[in-house]
Amino acid sequence: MRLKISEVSKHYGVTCALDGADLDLNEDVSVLSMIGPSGGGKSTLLKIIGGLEVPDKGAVSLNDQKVDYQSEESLLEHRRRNGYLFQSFNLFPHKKAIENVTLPLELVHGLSTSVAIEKANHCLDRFGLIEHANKFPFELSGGQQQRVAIARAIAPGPNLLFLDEPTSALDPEMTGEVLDLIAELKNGGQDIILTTHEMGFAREVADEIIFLEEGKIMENGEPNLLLSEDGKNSRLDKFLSRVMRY
Amino acid sequence: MKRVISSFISFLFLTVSCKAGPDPLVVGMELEYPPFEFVADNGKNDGVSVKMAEALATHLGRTLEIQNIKFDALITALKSGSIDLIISSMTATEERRKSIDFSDPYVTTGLAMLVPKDSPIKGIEELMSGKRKVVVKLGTTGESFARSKLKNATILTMTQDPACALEVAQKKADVWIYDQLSIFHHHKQHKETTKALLKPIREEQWAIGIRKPKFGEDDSLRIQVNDFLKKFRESGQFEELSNTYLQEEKKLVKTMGIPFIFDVNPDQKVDVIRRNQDSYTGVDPLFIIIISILVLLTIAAFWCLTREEDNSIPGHDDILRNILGFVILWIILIGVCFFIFSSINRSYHWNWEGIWNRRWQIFGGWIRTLWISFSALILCIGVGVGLVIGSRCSFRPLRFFCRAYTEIVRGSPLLVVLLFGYYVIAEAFNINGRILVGILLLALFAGAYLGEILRGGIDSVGKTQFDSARAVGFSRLQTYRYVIIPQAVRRILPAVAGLFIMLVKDSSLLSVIGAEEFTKRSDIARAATFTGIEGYLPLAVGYLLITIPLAYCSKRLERKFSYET
Repeated sequence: MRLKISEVSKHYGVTCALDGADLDLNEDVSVLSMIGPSGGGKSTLLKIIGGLEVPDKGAVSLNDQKVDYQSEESLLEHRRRNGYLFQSFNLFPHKKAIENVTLPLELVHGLSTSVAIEKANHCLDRFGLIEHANKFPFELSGGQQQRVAIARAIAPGPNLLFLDEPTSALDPEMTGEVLDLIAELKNGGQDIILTTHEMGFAREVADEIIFLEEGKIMENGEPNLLLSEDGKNSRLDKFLSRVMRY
Repeated sequence: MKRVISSFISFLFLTVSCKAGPDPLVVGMELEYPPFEFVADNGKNDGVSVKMAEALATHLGRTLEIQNIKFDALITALKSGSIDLIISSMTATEERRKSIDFSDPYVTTGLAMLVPKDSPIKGIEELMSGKRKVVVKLGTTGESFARSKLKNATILTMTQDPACALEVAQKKADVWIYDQLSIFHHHKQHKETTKALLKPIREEQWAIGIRKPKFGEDDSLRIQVNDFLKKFRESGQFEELSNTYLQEEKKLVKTMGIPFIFDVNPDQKVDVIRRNQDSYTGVDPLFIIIISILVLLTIAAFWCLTREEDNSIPGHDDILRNILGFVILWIILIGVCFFIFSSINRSYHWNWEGIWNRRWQIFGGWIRTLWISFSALILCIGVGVGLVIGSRCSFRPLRFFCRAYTEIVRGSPLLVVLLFGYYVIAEAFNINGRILVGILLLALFAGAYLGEILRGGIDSVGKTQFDSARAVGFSRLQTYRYVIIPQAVRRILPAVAGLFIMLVKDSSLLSVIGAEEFTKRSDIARAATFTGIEGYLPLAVGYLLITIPLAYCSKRLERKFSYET
C-alpha cells in the first residue's frame, strides 16, 4: 500500500487527539502497525484513514487516491472498499453470527441472499466458526465474537483491513486465537493497518511500525530497527521499557 | 404478585367505603356553585347552603362536617351512607325521588336558556319546533328535561359549565338549558355573544336530599329537617340570606316580574316514593355472548401475562402447577370480592336495571373508545417519529419547534390541551368534529411523550453501533433501519406499552369536549338512573378489556424482539 498523511489534526472539544501527523509510506509495506501510549492518537488516526472520522485539517491519500472528507458519499464509498474492526467487536447484538456477515454483503455490496450466505459460510468455516453460525453474539465468547467481526470485515474482500486494537478486550488465550488469524490473513496477501499493544506480535507481523505520542508521529521504520533497544529516540525507549517491564 | 396486590388495591378503591355514625352531621355538596355553595377567598366554605347546613346542625344539636363531592356523585355518596344529607341546590325531580327522599322544597326556580345573540329562539315554542342542537350539563335537570321533552333535538352533554357556555357563545350549539341563576351569570361572562332567556321553561323546586330509610329504620331525620326548614323560613332567615348573597339577582328578577327563588309556597310538599327493588327485564342473548367472548379473551390474555417466564425458577414449565396457581389466585380474588360486596350489600341498594337497559348505549361507547384509542395510538406513533426526526433535522426552525413542542405539550395537563385545542385552535381552523379533534389532540399529546421515549431508546443504543454500521458501509438510512431501530424498539417496548395504556384511559377525558365515548356514555347512564357502583364496575371492566390485551401484545412483542437474557 502507499499511504501519505500530511499535517493531519483532530480536536475533540478542547482535547487535541492529533496534532499535525505526517507520514509517507512506499509500496512494499503490506502490514502497518501503530504503537504508542493510550491517548497518543492511534485510534483517531486509524479512524481518519478508515473514513470514520473527518480531520480538522490535513490530507490523507491512500494508494495515490486522495480521501475526500468533504463528500459523505465518497467517504461511504471509501468505507465500503475497506474493512474495519473495533476493539470491542461491535457486532449487531440483535442479529445472529451469520446475519452479521450477510447483512452488509446484501445491503451494501448487492449480493443475492443465497450468494451472501454461501460467502458468509465460507468465511465462518475458514475461521472455525461454522458451528456457531446460528448463535447470537451474546452466546459467543469474546474471541469467537472478534473472529465473527473479522469474518464480517473480510467477507466483502476489502482492499485494506483496519484493525483497532483487535485483542485488547480479550484474555491471553483468545488473544492468541485472534492474532493467529491476523497472521494468516497477512500470509494470504491482505493489506492491513492495525493499532496494537502487542509488541511481539507487531514486530513479527508488521512490515512497518509507526510510533505515535501526543498526537504526532514520533518515529517510523522497520520493526527490527525501530524496536531494537538501542533506539535513538528517548520517548520511544521510555515507552518500550514501560511496556516490556513485566 | 405485585400485579395481584395492585389489582386488589384498585378493587378496594372502587368500592365506596360505607360508614354511618350518628355524629357528626355529614352534608355533601359540590362547592362550585356560588353564591349557594362555594369556597370563599379566605378558603372557608361559604354560601346559602353552607349557612343552612350550619343552622340545621345547630338545630339538630350535632356538629357539622361538609364534604365537597361532584354533583353527579352526590346521590351515590348518600346512598352508600358516606354522607347524611345533600344540600347542593338539588332539584327534587321524580327520577331522583326513586333513588332518595327529599325534604320540603326551600327554593323555587326554573330552567332558563342561554342562546346566541342573534338566535331565533324566544321561548319554549321556538325551542320545541325544529331540530335544535341543545347543550346540557351532565346529570342536571336541564339534561333530563331535554331528553324527555325535546325529542327532535340533538343533545350534547358536557361536564363543565364554562364549556357549555362556550358551546353557545361559539354557536356550536343553539341553546343551553340550565337553571336561571347560572344562565344569568354565564350570560354576564359572554355579554357580546349570548342572550339569556330567564323566563322559566319549567318550574323546579330545590330540596334537601335524604337517604331512604332501610328496613327497620324510621323517617325521623326527614321530619326533623322539614321542621327546621319551617322554622328557618318563619324566622325570616331566608330573607336575610338572600340579602347577603343574592342582592343583584333579587333586583333583576323583580324587574323581570319573575318571583324570587325563596318565595316558596309554604304548602308545597315533595312526595316520597316507596317501591320494591328493581328486577331484571329481558335478557339479550347476543349481548351476553359478546360480553362472554370478550371476558374469556381477556382472561386468556391475563393468563399469558401471569405465566412464569423466568428460567431461574425450577419447574417453571410445569403446566399443571401453573394452572393450579392461576386457579387458586382466582378463587382467592373471588373470595375477597365476595367479602367486600357482601359487606356493601347490607347498606347498598343495588339497582342494575338502569345500567342494563342502557347496555347497548354503553357498549356503543366502548366501541367508540376502542377506535378512538387505536386511531390516536397509530397517529401518535406518526407524531412521535416525526418529532424525533424533526429534532435531529438540520433546518433550525423545525428543530427548535420540535424541541419546544415536546416540552410544552408534555408539561401541560391533558385537560387543558383538550379544552384549549378544541375551543381555541380547532375553532380558529374551523374544524368541528368532536371525535376527530379529540383523536388528533390525544395523538398530539401522547406523541410528545412517545417522541421522548423514542429519543431515549435511540440514544441508548450507543455510538459503537453507529460506528460499526458505518464501518460496514451502511448508509444513514440503512443504519437506522437495520441496526438502530430494531435495538431501540426492544428497549422502549415496556415504556411504550405503558404510554399506550395511559392513552386508552386518558381517552375518557374527551368527555370535556363533549365526545360521547365509554366513560361519558356510562356517566350519562349513571346520572340518569342515579346508580353508583353499578355504573363504575362495567367501566372498570371495559377498560381492562382493552388494556390487558394491549399489555399482552406488548409482552409478545418483547419476546419476539428479545436477543439477550
